[in-house]
Amino acid sequence: MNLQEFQGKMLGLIKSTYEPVAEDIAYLRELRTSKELDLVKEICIWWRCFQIESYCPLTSSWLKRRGVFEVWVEQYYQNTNVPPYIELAGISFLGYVQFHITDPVTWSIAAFEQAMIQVKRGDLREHIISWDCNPYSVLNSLLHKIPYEEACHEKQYKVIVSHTIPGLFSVVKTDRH
Amino acid sequence: MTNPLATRQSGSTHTLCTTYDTYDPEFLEMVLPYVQYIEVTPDTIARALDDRITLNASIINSLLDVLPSVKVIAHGVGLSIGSYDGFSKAYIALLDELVATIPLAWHSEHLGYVQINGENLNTMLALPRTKEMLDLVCARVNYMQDRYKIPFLMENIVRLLPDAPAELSDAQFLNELTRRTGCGLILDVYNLECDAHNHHFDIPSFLDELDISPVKEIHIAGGTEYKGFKLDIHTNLVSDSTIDLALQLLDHPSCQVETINYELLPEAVDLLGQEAIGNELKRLSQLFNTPSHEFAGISR
Repeated sequence: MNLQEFQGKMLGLIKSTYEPVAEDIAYLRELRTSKELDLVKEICIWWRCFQIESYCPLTSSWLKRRGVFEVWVEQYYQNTNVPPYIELAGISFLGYVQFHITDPVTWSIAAFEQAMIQVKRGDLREHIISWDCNPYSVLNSLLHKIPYEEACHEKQYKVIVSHTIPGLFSVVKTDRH
Repeated sequence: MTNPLATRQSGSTHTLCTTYDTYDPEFLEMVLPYVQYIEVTPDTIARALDDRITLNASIINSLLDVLPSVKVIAHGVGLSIGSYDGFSKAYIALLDELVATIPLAWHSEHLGYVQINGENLNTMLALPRTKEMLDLVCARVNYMQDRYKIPFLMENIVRLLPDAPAELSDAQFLNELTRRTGCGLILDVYNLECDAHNHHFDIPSFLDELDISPVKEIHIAGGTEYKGFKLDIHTNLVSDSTIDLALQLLDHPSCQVETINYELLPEAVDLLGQEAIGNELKRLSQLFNTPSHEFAGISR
C-alpha cells in the first residue's frame, strides 16, 4: 500500500467513511474498531464543540437548550470539510445549521448570528432575517439563561442587520398577524 | 506541593520560552522577566479578513512592542508536512506574512499531517515511518529551509493511534532526517511521556539511539488524562517527571539545546490564571537555571 492509499484510508477512518476491503492491511482493519480511534474522533468533536460554542454562543446555547448541540456538531464534522480556523469554521457551522435545520426559530438564530459576525467583520450588505418569535425575547432568554415560553407565529418579525444601524440590527414587527 | 526536584538544577545555562497566542499584553508583560524567547503559532494567531486568513495585527503589534527584549520563534501546526498530496498553502501564506513582519530566530513544525486530499482532519496524525515518507519529508524540509533561510526544526508529536507498520525506528527516522537535511529538532518530552503511557514507548532506548546534537529546543507541558490516555492538551503545570526527563536531556554530553519551552494553549491562561503561570515560569527558571530578570531590577 503506497502513501496515497494509506492516507486516504486514514481520512476515511477519521471521518467514519472507511469500508475495509480484502487487500487492506490488517493495521487499518484493527484500527477501525479500536478504542484509540474512538478517542481521536471524540477529541475532534470535543474541540469543534469547544470552538463553536465560544464563537457562535447564541446558536450553541439554543441547540444546547434543546439537547442537540453535540449531535449537530458531530454531523457537521462528519459531513463537512471543517476549516482549521475557527473564524471560518464558525461561519461554516452556522451555514450548515441553516441549510439542514427544520425548526424555524433555530434557523433564525443561526442566520442572525451569522449576519452579525459578517457585518462586524466589515460586510457592507444588509441582511434581512424572518423570525417567528419575538427576537428580543429569544435573545434575552439566551443571554440571561432563562426559559423561553412565548408563543410563536409564522414570520411575525423580521430583523435587519446592517453596518448602518446603530447596534448593527433592528427588529420590525410584520403585519402578518 | 513539595517538589522533590526543587534542589536539583541543570549544570549549564539555557534559556526559557513560553507561548503567546492571544492578544494579552498584560500576560506578555508578566512573562517577560522569565523568558528569553516567545513562541507564536501562526495558525492560532490567524484571523479571518473577508474570506482570507491573515495574522492578528494586535498580537503582532504587542510582540513588536517587546522586541528586542525577547526573541520570537514560530511554531506551526497547519503545515501538514507529511501529506502525500502536498503541504498547506494557507500555512505557507501565514508564515510568509509573519516572516515579513517579525524577525524570527527560527521556526518549526510537527512531524505529522492534518489534511488529506484537501480535506482537513481537524487532528494531527503521526507519520508512518517508511522510507517513502522519509524521502517526502526531507524534500519538504529542504524546501522550507531554502524558502525562509532561517533554521527549521521538526518536533515529535503525540501518537494516540497505534503506530502504522514501519521500516524505521523513531530515532532512525529522526537521525536520518537531520543527517540528510541539516534541520534541527524539537524534543517534546511531555509527548514522549504520553507515548510511554499510552503505547509503552521505550523512552530510554529511544534516547540512546537518537542523535541528541540537533535538538535545539525542548518542549515541556502539563496535560491531562482521559479514559486512561495521557493527552497533550497543554493546560496544566509541568509535572516533576517531565522536568526530570528534560533535565536528563540537558545533562547529555551532546546536548546543544538553546531553549526550554513551556507550552500553553491559549485557554490555559484563563484556566490556570496568570499568577499560577508566573509562579510556574519562576520555578522552571530556577530548576533549569535560566536567566531571570525578576530580582535583577532590569528594566525591559
